[in-house]
Amino acid sequence: MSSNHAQGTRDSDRLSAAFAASERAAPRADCPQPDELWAAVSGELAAGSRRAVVRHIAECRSCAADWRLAAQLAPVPSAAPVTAPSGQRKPWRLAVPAFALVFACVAVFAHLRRPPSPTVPVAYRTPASQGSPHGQPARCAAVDCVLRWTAGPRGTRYRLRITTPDLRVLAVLDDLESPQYSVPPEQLTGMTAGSVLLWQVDRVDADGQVVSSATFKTTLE
Amino acid sequence: MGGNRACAASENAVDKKRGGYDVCSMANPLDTAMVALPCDAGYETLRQDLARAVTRVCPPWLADQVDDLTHVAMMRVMKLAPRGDRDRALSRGYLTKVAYTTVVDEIRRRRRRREVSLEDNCGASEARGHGFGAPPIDPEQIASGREIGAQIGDCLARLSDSRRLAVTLHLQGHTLRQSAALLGWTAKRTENLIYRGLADLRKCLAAKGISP
Ligand SMILES: [Zn+2]
Repeated sequence: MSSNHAQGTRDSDRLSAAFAASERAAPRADCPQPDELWAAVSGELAAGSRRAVVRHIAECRSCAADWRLAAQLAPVPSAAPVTAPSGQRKPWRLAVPAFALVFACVAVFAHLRRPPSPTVPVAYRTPASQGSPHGQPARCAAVDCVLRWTAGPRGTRYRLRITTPDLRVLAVLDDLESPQYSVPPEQLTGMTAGSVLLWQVDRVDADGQVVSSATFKTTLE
Repeated sequence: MGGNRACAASENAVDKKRGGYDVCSMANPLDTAMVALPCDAGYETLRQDLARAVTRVCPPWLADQVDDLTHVAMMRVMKLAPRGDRDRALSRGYLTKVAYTTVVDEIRRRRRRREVSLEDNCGASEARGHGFGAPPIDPEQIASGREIGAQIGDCLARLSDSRRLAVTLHLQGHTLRQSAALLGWTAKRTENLIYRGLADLRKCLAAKGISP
């Protein structure tokens, strides 16, 4: 390999890696939801909608990264095979995904060396929407355990799911009118002091809009 | 408190099987709608399958969150149960999708809080391939990459729409066949757009003093 070619490959690799890495970028308000990205990558969306998503990832580094992750996991559709004209494919272009991957993954280890970020005091977190309900208490007695969360506007209904940490379902409640639920002691049969309840609330407003809470942890006393 | 329904999974008889999972159902006493939740052994199997899916999706820097994220994913599957989506919910492909959406939501949450850079967002399988002991990253390389990345974004925006779409998928690592299928174009057209689009991109970057 000539030194010129080697230099060209290094330069191309930098370009390729830069597209994958780019600057830090937060998701935007108009970003497609992850399930829409997944549907686009796997060909479930109509062609016009897929192109709209690709148009977005061309200008949104955050979604471009999410797209690459989906492409590793989802079945990506393929068209009929076409032979590329000779001479059009240069080696640096073939190195795009490989080097981008190396670059991105090496950065992971730089990140791992950083001290861990402070975490919220809830063991099991759902990526909750802004303004989602807060829940309490952190501890309660088995004979009098009342779960409470932030109320929504008048007319709001609530859905509640309660499980154990090993995901045994204790209760699923729909259409609660009040932002609280008194857990019947019989639903806690067999649970001892120190046992943990995990629970999550959906707040359903009068228009049917749903805001999900984080998953809360309540320890039995 | 009105209109409630509660299901203690262990108390419900297993009355159907979907996708290999036992599903226990009960009638809503108020509207006779059915609540379907996997229970007992079926539930544990589903949890294990979801945990595997989450592990596969999760980047290494989120590895310590696999249990949390599996729980969140489990909650999502449970929420889907009453919506007539049970068959899909219990397929392997669907579990992977649920795992993906759960993990990406968490990644986005952290990006909003600037806890993580985009370079960190790579799949677990690839990252493990480069494993611990990978060479330390060069900060200058990162800074340089980011600067060039911004210029690439600027140049991409200047391409014609069809060339921009084709080049974007190419830079994302898709094959020609995949790009053609994703864009809904013939392979010949897609190849032509990639070729011309890359030429435009290089020209634009060269004008900015960047020469790949
Ligand atoms: Zn976006």
